[in-house]
Amino acid sequence: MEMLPFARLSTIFQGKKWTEIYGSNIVFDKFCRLLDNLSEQQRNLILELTDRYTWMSYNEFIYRLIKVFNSIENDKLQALKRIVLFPVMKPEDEAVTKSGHAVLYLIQGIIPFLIGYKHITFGKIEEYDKITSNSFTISEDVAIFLIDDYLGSNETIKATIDKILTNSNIRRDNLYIISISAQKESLDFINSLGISVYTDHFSKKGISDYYSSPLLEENITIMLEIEKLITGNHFSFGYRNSEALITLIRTPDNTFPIFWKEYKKNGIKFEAPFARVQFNL
Amino acid sequence: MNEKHLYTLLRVIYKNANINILIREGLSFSKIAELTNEAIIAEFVIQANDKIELSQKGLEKMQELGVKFKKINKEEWIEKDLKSKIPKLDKNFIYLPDQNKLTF
Repeated sequence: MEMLPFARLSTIFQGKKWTEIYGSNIVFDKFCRLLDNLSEQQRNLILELTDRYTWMSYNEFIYRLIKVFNSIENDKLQALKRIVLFPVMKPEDEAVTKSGHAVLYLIQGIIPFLIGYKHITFGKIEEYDKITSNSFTISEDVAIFLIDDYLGSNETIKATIDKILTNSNIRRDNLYIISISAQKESLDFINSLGISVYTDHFSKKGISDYYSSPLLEENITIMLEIEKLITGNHFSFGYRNSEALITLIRTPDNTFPIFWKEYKKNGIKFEAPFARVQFNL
Repeated sequence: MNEKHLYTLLRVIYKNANINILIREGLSFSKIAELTNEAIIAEFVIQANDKIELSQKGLEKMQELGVKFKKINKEEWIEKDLKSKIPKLDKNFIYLPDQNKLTF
């Protein structure tokens, strides 16, 4: 790679203060390998996308989580006595640790830093059986907070809401959706149901929302070329074409896969900058 | 600032060469970024939006260090063009060119 793209990447890392995040040098090195494996045109697109990429450090994650909770209107909080936390997850994923579970645990740590919650007690439920059981009843002053770090396509949040509302004791206005970041598709869906949703980061589509014709088509073609480096199954342009550009505690599969999926060049395997690691059984 | 690495860095920028030369000198990409920053702060290198080049001061520094570090053994400064190297092909491999890309 020549000096200019390298210097541009370095400037992006510094401008976004990524150099202050622990592990930044590892990510930077993997980014450089990626750029080195691309053509000049492909490299330019990746640099533009990197420039609008969000990499949330753990510290920023906690800070934004507190901000989301503190953004809930005071009169709504005053009307509540109890909040029940529940992770956003598809019913079939109940046995798997999803990001919502991780956020649930972190919330325990941030409660002392919240403003306007002193009169409220917190509880959590992590099983659908418990929340959909007829024995689970809810009064006016209790809210169910559905928790996640990232709302991508509306598939997961829809499945969660649908399943919870099978309990006829729960009404839509008992539900609050809390997520650090969200895509438009999810926000539109939740708003269409009239359910309250709180988030601190709006995730745009990395290519479709930023370019218009003919640059749009050009960049789509370039990205499709880049994705040819990824072997095996992958989610082209991110899960359900989300085109996301975000890494939180873990990178959601909604993000363009070249940022998180292993790829090959001339028969050699390379790790992606923000590799998504799966546990092996 | 390691003078040897600085000399290579200044030459890479001056010649618009591949930074992998610095990797082969044992630096990681992040170390090269640090070194570049130091060179910018020391006003040897000027970086604008779409260009990076040596300042007059950087040019003089490169010449000064050149006396010390210039390689005269051609084995050391002529490098293999690894970018153009392709994986070894099987002896039974048959190459079928893309008909749309043929120019004849």
